[in-house]
Amino acid sequence: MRQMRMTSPVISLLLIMAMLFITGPANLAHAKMIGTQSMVQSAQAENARADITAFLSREDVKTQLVDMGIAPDEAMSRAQNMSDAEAVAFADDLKNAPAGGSGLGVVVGAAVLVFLVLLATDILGFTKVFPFTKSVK
Amino acid sequence: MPFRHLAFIALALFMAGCTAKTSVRWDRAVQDIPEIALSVPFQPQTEYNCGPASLAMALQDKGVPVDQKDLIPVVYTPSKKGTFQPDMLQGARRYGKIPYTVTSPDELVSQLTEDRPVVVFLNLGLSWHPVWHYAVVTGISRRHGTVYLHSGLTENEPFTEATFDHVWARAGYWGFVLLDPGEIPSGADSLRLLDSAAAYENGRHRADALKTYEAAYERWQKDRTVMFAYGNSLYLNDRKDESAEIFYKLTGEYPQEADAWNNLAQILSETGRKEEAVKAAEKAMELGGKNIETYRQTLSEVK
Repeated sequence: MRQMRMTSPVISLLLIMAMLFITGPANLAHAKMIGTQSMVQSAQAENARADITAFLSREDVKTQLVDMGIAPDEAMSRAQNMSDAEAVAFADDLKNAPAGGSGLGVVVGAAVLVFLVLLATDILGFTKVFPFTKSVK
Repeated sequence: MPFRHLAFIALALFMAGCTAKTSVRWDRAVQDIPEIALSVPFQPQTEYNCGPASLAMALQDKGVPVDQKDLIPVVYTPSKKGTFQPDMLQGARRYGKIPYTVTSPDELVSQLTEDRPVVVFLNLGLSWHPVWHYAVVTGISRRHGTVYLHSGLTENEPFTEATFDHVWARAGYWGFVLLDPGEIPSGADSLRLLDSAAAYENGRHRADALKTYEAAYERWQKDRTVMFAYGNSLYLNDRKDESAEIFYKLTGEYPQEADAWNNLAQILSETGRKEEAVKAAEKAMELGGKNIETYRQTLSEVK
């Protein structure tokens, strides 16, 4: 992404054209109207670059989801249904973002030490990893 | 004394002094609340699908007939064996509901009090060995010191308040409720609501989003961002005269709001009120700001 921000105006132009596409029918841009998301963003943070950042982030989210194996059409639908703020925050740390997916046997592969620590913290009520523990009061 | 006795005593002392306690934030949020037990449809998750399952339960609670397997392609990321938080929100929007995020024990309690189950993001493990999980909070019993969740394979699973507080705090006290178009929780934050509604609007729910903006305008008559969003939404739904009226009201209350003057100019010009349109566009140009290029174009077009 960092690289993309510095590349040529041609790419920016392409991106802008893509943006017109991605934001779909509910689009005020054709009418020279300032959009609601832009207003909400600037009310949340006085950031003159909010629009472009949001747009780049949405592209970023899309690309990275595709990299993670989501089909391009589906990745586009997902990005499209995120708010500017959500897309920006998500794009910023997509690599580290946690994905909730607690399996039914999550700790099976964990080392014995980790197992014991989690067992103790479960019993003490700090964690809730094992279905069979009941925390003491 | 043999070593193992010492170790046992040490462990007992440790456990006696160190069981999990609720935080001050939690205690403050739950004091004086009644017993809350919502009846929420339950669906046991399949492997790794706590996200789709939790969202399915929340949607079903709102009357949307959807199964977790329908939601897997919409929110789940197979290579991560999990579901990202923003994906939960966009998934809700695609099924016609507006997600409103919940960010503290206070807000959790107030949503439950208003009969909304709360989808929560949890870290059941530790910060250095996270076990991320989604579940749906269905109730709190002060009498038993318990929070109830539809979680994993268990319906209304009791967590002690302290454990719930810890595992939720470890995931940043993040959660959300689902709203119908036009529904606004009491004590809602206007910007947080508008942000979610605007994403919903962009996702091809123009007409339904208008209901939320309408309700927001009723609730926050003088809020400039609310007026702005409502005016835009009226315009998008082809109710241009009413839209112009809102933007006139907005620029009357906040004459420094250049974006509002610009949008007003555009709407007036499209409804054949050229003279007023030019005046409004000139006003936007005069005020200037980050969108001045757009104002310039508007002015040249309405002239």
